[in-house]
Amino acid sequence: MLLRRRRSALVLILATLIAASSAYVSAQFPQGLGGLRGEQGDPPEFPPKDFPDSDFVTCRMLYTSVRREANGAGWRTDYPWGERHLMIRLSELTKTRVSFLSKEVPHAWLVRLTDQTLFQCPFLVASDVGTVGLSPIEAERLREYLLKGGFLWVDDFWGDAAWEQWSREIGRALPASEFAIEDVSLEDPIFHSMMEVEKVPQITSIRFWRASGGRSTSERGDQSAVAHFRGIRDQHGRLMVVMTHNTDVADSWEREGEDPEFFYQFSPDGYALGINVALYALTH
Amino acid sequence: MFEALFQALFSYRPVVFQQGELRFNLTTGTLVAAALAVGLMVAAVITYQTVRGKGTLRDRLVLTALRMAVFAVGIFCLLRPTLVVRASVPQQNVVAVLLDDSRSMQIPDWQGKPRSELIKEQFGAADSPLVKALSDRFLVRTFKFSATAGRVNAITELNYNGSQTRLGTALSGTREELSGLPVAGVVLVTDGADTSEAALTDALLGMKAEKLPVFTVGVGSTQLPRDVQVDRVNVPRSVLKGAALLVDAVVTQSGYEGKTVRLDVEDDGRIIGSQEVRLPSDGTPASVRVRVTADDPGPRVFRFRVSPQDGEVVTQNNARDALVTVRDNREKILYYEGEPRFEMKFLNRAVADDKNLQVITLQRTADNKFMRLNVDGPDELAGGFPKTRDELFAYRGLILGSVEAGAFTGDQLQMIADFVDKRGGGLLMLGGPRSFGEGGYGGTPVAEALPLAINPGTRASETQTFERVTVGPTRAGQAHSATQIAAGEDASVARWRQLPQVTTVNLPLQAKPGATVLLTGTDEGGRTETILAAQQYGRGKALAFLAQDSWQWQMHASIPLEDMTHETFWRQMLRWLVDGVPATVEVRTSTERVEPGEAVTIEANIVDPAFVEVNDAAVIAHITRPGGATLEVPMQWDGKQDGLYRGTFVTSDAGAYEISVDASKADKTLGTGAAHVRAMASDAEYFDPTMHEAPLRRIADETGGRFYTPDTMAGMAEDIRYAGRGVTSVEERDLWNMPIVLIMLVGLMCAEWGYRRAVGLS
Repeated sequence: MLLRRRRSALVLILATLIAASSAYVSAQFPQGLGGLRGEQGDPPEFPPKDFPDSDFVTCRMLYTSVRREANGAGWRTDYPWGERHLMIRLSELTKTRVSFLSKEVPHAWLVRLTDQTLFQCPFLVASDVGTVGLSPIEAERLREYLLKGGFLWVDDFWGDAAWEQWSREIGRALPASEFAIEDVSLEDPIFHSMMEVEKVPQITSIRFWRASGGRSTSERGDQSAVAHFRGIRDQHGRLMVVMTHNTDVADSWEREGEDPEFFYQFSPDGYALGINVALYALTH
Repeated sequence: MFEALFQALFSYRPVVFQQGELRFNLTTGTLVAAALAVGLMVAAVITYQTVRGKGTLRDRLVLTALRMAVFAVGIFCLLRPTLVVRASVPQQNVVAVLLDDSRSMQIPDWQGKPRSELIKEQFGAADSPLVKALSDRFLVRTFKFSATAGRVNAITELNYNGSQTRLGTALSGTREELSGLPVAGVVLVTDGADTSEAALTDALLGMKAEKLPVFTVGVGSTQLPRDVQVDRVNVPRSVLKGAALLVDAVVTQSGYEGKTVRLDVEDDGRIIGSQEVRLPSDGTPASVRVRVTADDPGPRVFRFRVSPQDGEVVTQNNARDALVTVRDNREKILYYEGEPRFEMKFLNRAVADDKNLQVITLQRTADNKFMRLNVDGPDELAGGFPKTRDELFAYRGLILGSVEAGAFTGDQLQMIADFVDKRGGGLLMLGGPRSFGEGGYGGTPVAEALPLAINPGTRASETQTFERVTVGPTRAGQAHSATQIAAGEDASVARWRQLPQVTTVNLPLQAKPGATVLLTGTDEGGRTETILAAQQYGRGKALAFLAQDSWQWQMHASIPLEDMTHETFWRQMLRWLVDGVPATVEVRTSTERVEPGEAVTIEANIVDPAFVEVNDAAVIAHITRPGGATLEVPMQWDGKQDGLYRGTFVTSDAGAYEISVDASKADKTLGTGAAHVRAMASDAEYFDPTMHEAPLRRIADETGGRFYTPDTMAGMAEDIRYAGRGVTSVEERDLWNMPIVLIMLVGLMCAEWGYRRAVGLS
């Protein structure tokens, strides 16, 4: 009996050690256990030292996840087709020149905050940022990037725990005492850059939408009932970080072609907001 | 020395020979004596002919010539030569003595004493030989002069404090004062440092018309042994607050070659710029370029100063003042960007903190959709790019981003060209896929204005090039305030080398002949192309900047967060763009400084909102005196030049006078302009403080007088006497008894005797 108890304890210790090791490994390698692939298995697109042209392009923040969120995929969430579809629409609906990888596929660069090339890309996006863990050097570089004039849009993080994680991490780059996070009013120019956005749309991931039968858009129940559009402004009052919390705007771009119903329900609002934010980032 | 020797040998002063007429007194006796002398000359020739065999032919010729010369002198004396001269009748003529009463006479360079001491010693003491000589011959009337001339009874009335020297005014005033009197001549005692801007010609014509000779006495040395002078500074009369100016100053010196001194620029005692300069050789001007920032608004007096050096004779000329009106305006610049791109965002951010620049951005986001940034009201640019001249010309600068020519109507393209040409605005075209040749500007009026030549046959096209270039200043760019991005030329050049590369998508364009290239870009193959060029076009200027992503100078990883290069570059560029751009009411004064009590002429150019000159406007100048009292001066169209109005007021107290001009037409305000003028005593007397010999010689030569220095003026009274002016009598002066005649006779005879002894013929 005693022997059996000792075996059980040993198994428990081993299991704990294995679990802890897995979490540690997962935390140390941003590509996670799935390698550096996009959400749908697309290869990453790392930028060269010098960009091939000076046209508008998005950069995806490659970060380290230090925790897990349900339905989240860390940095790769919505990459690369979320931004690629947005760039295509931006080039079609506005005069913006977009940097294309091929005739129909825009670039979607993947950059670490420690990469030199980050500073050639003044429009940075990130998803599932409720799992982000910034190292001190990453926090410092992000601060430098934003204060120089870079723009960051974080999206697709749901619920209180994700918000707390993200707000704590961004606070390491831009302390709240100096750069307060605010709910951005619908009167703000960012909602009227080109399209008239009259509400912050709550857009769910297509998987959740399908699973819920299209009845719910709140992926965390009551905790995420309301979509937020929050921001951090620089000393001149210009938004330099925008945060779409409790909503997955990028999925309305990424999955626009998968289901007409999903498209009509979410993509017009998602693109209106996306184009407005991109134009704001280009002009402010 | 020469004159004393001349007088000792020839008995009379040179002027007697210059004025006199040579005559011979031919009586029967003198003719007989002369004939005898000729006979003796013939005998001498025969005598030397007969002594063949003794001496060589050359010896005999020399001896014959010497003997002939002796007899020639004798014949000259026998003919009783006489000079007939016209000499002033003693005490029947007036001599006017004009004494310089200006500050420069205090400069201690006459035998180590102030120049005024010469006047006191030579013209102030009754026992002075010069005064005595003049008084014995003439009725002396003494005048002092600086800005004007006035009669004095005693030399003690001079205080040598006049802030100006006006030689022409002094001569003309004296001439009028002596009108109707018999005047033998005018004596002008001065250092010749004329501070007036009027030419001497008119005054000299009057003197020549009345045949008044002027005898000038130059006081002071022609070169100071040790002196540093701020020769001149070129400062704009009006600048925008916060402007970083590169001011050219010229420093001259004597006695300090090789020494390094510092030129400071002070604004109300605060140093706002400084530059060291190594002094070149004596008399060689040293050009100094000093960077100055004009931070305080209003009329500012910038003082350019070099500290007094050891042993300097004159220290007052170490500083020079310049009045600068620092405008605290917000200059409106319209920026039309044809496509959303980061260049617009970062350009706007670069100048966001500049309170004196307002960049109003019209951002085309889609076809017929615009975003307006920094507009003054909901109506501004509501209809897109301005469609009328009134609307466009309200801006002082215009930036065209990556927007194709096809986005404008033909009239709008002409309006843009007129914006530069007629309105005098600043146009800047930025590089981009839709600008320059790629934007289809070839053959348009805008292309005419641009400093780069676009082939008229070029049609709008997609970009065919993408070059990554390192930007650096040309020689002109190194010296230009807009492209100097660090303190000093060397630091600026070094900073340019460190900046990250930028890209161009426009095919390289050649600068037009009248354009100045300030920045060039060098690609990795070593090829160079123009990045920034500028040219004057009509009343305004046009700039071309071909880089499309200068935001790299802000964002690039190699640029520290606190680096201000990008901000500095664009602030300077846009300030340059609107620098000197006229308003609807442009006010100026004929000079930035007058003496207290002098009149000031105000000029104003008045145009309507379309910048067409207006000749029937109601124009009023409001003058605010230093004490706060105000005065209204109506201004009148001058009748010759369209839009030009003039008015005059007289200053009273010393200080700054503010001039504000309002113009209206049919009860509609056309605009308001302002200028400033200072009323204060000038320091001009201390600049170029050496004795100016050339104008004094000119005065003397053109009027028939003579130029003297203190060392040569002893015989001046005699010279005036024989000048032939005033009441004169004819006098005859014998020449046969001149010492030179006896010396020649004896000398020639001794020479003949000595030569004969030397060749063995005695």
